[in-house]
Amino acid sequence: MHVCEQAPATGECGPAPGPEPARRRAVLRQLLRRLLSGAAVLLGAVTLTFTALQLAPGDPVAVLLGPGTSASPQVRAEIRAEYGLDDPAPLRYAHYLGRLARGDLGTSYQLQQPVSQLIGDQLRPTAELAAAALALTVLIGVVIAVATAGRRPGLRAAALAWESLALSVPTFWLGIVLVSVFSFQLRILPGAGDQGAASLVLPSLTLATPGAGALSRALREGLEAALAQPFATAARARGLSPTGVTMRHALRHAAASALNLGGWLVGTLLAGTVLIETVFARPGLGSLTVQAVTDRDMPVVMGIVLTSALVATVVFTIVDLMQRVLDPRLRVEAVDR
Amino acid sequence: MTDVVVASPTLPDRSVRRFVAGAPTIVLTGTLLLVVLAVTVPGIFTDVSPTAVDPSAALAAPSGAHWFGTDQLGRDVFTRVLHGARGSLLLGFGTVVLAVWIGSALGLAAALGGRLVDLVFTRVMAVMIAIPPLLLALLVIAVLGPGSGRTMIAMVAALTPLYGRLVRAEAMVARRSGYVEAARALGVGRTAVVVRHVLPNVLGPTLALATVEVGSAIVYVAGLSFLGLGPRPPSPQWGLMLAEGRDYLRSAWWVGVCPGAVLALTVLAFQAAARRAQERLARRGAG
Repeated sequence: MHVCEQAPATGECGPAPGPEPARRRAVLRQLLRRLLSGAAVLLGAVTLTFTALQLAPGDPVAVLLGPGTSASPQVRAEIRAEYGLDDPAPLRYAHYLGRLARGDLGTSYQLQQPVSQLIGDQLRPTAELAAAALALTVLIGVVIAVATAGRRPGLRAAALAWESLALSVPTFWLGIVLVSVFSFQLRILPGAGDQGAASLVLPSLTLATPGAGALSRALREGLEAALAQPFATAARARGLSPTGVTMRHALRHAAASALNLGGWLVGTLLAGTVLIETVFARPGLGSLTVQAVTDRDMPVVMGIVLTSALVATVVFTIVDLMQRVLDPRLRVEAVDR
Repeated sequence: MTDVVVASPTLPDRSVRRFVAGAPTIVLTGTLLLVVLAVTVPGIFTDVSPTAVDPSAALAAPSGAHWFGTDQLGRDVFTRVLHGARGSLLLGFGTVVLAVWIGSALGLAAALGGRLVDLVFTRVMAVMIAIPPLLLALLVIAVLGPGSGRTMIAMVAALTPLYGRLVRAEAMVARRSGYVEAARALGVGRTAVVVRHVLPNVLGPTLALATVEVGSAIVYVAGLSFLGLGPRPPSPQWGLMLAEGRDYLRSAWWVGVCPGAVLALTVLAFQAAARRAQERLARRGAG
């Protein structure tokens, strides 16, 4: 390690230009590296699904023809040629990549429709459910964290209990309990189907619960750490109310660390829809997934896995970049590396 | 802040409060004991067969005779929950044990096996982490088909990355530590260094994660069997009971709600016990 006087923050010495362009270039490089590693993950996911298809036992032709259908060897050979089933594996992999690049995810064995169209058709109900659940997660998590951070022990104990419960109660059971209470006993909310906003309440609440528990725990811990810092004491000394200090000063600190949950949260929501849509008999990607796995409709399963890997990778990347926006220290560190 | 022990005036209040604070522990410990009993001797509390069909008593509400009521075929739900414990819990346990083994082996190999091995390992793990565990498990089930053993393989595939990444990270830290360097300098062989110096330091955090994760593994297994993609029907599974109960929710809530309540309590109990054990370990490590 040597001392560098021109640009102590960038760690780049010698004839390097002034700190500003150097920093900008470093940030760009960081961004590019992040995008490249995201692309590598996606390519990996493509390879994984391709391998899965190769490993799937059974004769694809038999699956394509449907159960109990007999076909002459000639017809079978034609089908094999049409789907390129006799080509060597590297060639099929190349073809697969080429089709994916054009946005072609293949054709469903069971439904005889393009997978991209199937996924597109089912996207809206799942996106609505996930968006509502995400909003509820943030709302519940933030409200509970702000209301309980650094407060009386009794209140904190209650929050801790809620968090343990929310994180460990199986969502599909919670959904069943909510349907039983609110749809069949009290008859105030629909427990199944996809008709309007009312039918979204119970499923999104169920889906939001584990994430809200995790978020309020992370936020509360972050808030308490921030409230113990000198700047919080100073703000209080200036006469700001405890809630004011929490909202105006501590929340930003806590949010930066709570953002780490972002990737996990989206994964939980995505995977959660599989169970929640089954519990609430809702249409959507989750129901499509269950149907496809049950039928062993590999093109559909692969399409869904790839779509979710794409969403997760995009979210991971955004979260990573947002952390830099929220926490200026990370920007400096990024340049330092 | 210091703990101030205030004497007499608040004493009755304090003991009440301590009892209230202790209540969850009592409930969860009790659940844990009952579940362990149910796994080892499912027939200990009831002499009814879990498959005894009694159409005349179908969908009977919970009562003294049937604590959790009966299902659509008149089978006693409580008995079925007890008999289902073994299948549901052992799959969860087995999954975590296998995932820890395989994840540790892969993680150690990546940390100690050279750059290329490490690169491949890190890339593969990054891909597997980008796919939520449940979807990964569903992908494997789509390839292999449903069933007890296959559910386990799917779950192991879904959970292994978690341990693999942790073990690799811990082993990387241990490899660069002073004690490993000292052991090398003393002429201790490569394998001996790994077994005697790296492994013990990696094992602690890994087992800590594993104990907490047993609960979620049980939930994953139950979730898969709830979707009808886990072990097949003859084996009594909590998830399957929940799925059956879903269809009778309008008239008989207990068929689905009761097995799920036992599942939720069990998971809570496992996680509380794991956290308690971790805290104790941490305190012993610090003190």
